Amino acid sequence: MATKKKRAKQIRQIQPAELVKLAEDHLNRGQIDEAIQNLRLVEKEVQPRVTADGRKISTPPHMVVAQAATPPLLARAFSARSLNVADPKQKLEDLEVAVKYAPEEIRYRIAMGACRILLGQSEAARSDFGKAEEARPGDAFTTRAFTLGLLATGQAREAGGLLNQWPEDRRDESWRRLAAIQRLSGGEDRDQLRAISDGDHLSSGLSHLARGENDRALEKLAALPAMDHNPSRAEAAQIATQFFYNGWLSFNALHYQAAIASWREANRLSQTHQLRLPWRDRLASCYHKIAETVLEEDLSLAIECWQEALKLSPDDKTAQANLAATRQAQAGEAWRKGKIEQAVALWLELLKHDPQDELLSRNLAVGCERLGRKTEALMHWRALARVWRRQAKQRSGELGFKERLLKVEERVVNLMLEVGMDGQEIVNELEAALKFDPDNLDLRRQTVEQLLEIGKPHAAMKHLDAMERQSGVSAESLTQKGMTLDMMGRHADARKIFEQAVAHDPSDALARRNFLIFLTQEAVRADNRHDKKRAMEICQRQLSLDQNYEPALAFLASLHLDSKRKADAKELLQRLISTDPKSPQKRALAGSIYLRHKMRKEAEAMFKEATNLESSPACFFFIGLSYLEVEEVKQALKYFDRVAEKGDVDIMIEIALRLVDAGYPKEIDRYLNKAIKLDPSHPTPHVIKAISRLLNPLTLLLEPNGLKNALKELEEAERLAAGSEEYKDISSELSQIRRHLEEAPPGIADLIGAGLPPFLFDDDDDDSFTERRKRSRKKRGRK
Amino acid sequence: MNLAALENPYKILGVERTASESEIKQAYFALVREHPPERDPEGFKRIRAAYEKLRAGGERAETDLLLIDEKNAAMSAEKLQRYGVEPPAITPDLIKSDLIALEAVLLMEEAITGNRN
Repeated sequence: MATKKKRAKQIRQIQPAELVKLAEDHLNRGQIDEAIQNLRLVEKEVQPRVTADGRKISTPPHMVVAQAATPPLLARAFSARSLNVADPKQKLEDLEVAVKYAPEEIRYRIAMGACRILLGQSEAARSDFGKAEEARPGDAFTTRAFTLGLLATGQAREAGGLLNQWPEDRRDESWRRLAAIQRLSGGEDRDQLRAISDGDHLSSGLSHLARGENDRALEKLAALPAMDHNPSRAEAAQIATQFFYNGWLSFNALHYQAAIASWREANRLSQTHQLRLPWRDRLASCYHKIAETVLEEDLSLAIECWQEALKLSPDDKTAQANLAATRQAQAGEAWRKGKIEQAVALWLELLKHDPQDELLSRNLAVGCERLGRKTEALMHWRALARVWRRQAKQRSGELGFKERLLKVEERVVNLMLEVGMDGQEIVNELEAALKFDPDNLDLRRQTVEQLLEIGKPHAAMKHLDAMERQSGVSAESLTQKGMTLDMMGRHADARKIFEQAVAHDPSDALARRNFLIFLTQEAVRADNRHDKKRAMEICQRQLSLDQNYEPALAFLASLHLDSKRKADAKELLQRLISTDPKSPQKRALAGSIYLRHKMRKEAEAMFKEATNLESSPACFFFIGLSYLEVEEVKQALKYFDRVAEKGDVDIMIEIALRLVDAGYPKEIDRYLNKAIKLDPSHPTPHVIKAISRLLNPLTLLLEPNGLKNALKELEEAERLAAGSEEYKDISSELSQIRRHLEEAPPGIADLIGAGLPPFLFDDDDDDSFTERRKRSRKKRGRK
Repeated sequence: MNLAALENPYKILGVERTASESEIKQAYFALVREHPPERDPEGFKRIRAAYEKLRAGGERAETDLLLIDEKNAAMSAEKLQRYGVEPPAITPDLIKSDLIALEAVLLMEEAITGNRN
């Protein structure tokens, strides 16, 4: 704003004469608005002034020239501007201003009259032309205008008289055109008729058309003038009209494609040259007529017609609706034929025009799910859920509406979980759904689950209380409450509630299972407090709920052994085994408990029985781990070696990791080498090799090229990861680690001090390797 | 529910999307009488599967949600919105008025630019 004012001030400082010159330059360059702006300033500057008592102040001499030059230039500017707008009303406004500034210029008055004809104001036009004729009688141009005025007001005979008076040598194209109009108005002059036949293609073609001689009309109208230059506006107007009628003849002969091609060209010319000719208003009805006629047999032609109609008038509601229905039909057809991607693309196109359309959102959600585009599907389901939630009240009576909304909510939450969306966002979605359906227990239950998942037990408790108020207590609600209280650290309250849940419905397996799990944690907590008596009581309570509950049997046996009550322990472990006598796992578990309590003989006997039942790598691995736990490495390695005979790559990696964890990195190479042999493309064994070396300063110190070898292993891991779909994303991480180590200052202390990225070493960290290892194991398991 | 294998159960049972539970049931029993399992086991299986999809509230809601409406799979004259305005007949009067308008354009152009047309 400030800049504009500044500019205006600068302009005002220029002398009016200079501004007039500047405006003239602008006009010559076609910069009409700039010219008008400057001339208006001059006009203001040079206007006659009066003193306070009403006396005229004479204009200073240096302004006189500018004062005289401004009105004709303004007239020129406004008349020029009128040519650049398509709307005849705007044209007329500009021309009226032009006439006001230069009333003596008859050409502006004639232009104004011509414009009035386009607006249907024929009488006013004739009056304008009459004034021009009075001002310059006998002038060829004014006579032409006056004749047109007569024809426009239906005075064909008078017009004919005038046309006959034109000297032969002045009978040019404009005379022929006017004569053609006069002929169409009912004049019967033979001479004129002949002259028209010899005239331009448009006039003679239309004369034939008016007489119903369509073939001859087509012959004339199809002959377009040769164009070796960009047509002027006048030429464009004539050619466009010729194209329109040419198209109309094709339309009449049912040659629709040809008609459309001609009309498209006619419209293009009229738009490019800002022409507003009356036939343009007829095009829409022609396009609609074709579309309605060909719909059943040529859908794409119908579509083309509606698209053309929309080009003419973007607000054409009929064309919009028909196009949308057609696209919908095409999408449905594509869907039926299994062309899902095509259907989805069409629906997406339609959604742009109608983002609130619930049918489209639903179709898109289903389509995207079919294509596996879950994130997109989720977006559309959420959009649908939003629309439906808003309508929930008014559509409550609709058959199946509530159920459908619930299904959408379910799908949204499931997809959110599938695509790994943030837990809080899932809760937000659920709470938004609950706002519209607060009595929906399923939604509330899901919300509680999600809140517990993201560690918000207090918020979960509010929903649980609401559920209780709404539908009373159930074993399920009490269980969830117990879990929530446990998470809040209110273990005593949690226990009470779990007890209530089991008492409420003793047959509810879920309530019992959750209570058992809770009690196991309670027992461990008691043991950690060295309250063995309490721990034992808890185990007994567990066994009263399920006499064969394995964790309780094992833990209680362990507690008995701690208290030197071997007989009781043995009896419990025997009970544990007898729950499934053929299970090697139970014997191995019993063996590991004996081993932890230094009952080596009993342990070995159990391990032997376990391996006799199943000499599998998994069984040997478990026994090996039991020995590793009590730091009997030799024995552990003995069993791990047996695992290595038949085990797969994942179990080899697992052994190596357990050994590293237990502080025996030197022992891992044979298992990792076996893993590499089993799967040379697996990067993890190389990573573990590298890390185990880097973790052990002594290895680095004593082993020649220790660091170099570690880096080499990392490099190899990096190479393998880059070539694997599953590990590709960690390749860059590995490369970062390697560079980090390469750039570390020399010396072991420095290297350790440099600090390696923690995710490789932190046991508690849910690092990507461990996760990937698990995934890989799962994948292999499936294979 | 398997999205890929969702055959239109309404079509199979020959009922409208708005059909009530009892209408669905009626249609199902009528079809079962026509296609008893011992004579047409495949047909019966199809009918039974369709009925299962529309029987219970939850199942039907899911079916309705995932079923792409095949009614939209064709653009027909019934769906067409008519423009309601017929192209005018080309008469000598219409041609005359077009020529007058064209002449007015040419006249205006010549008046302002001075270029002869």
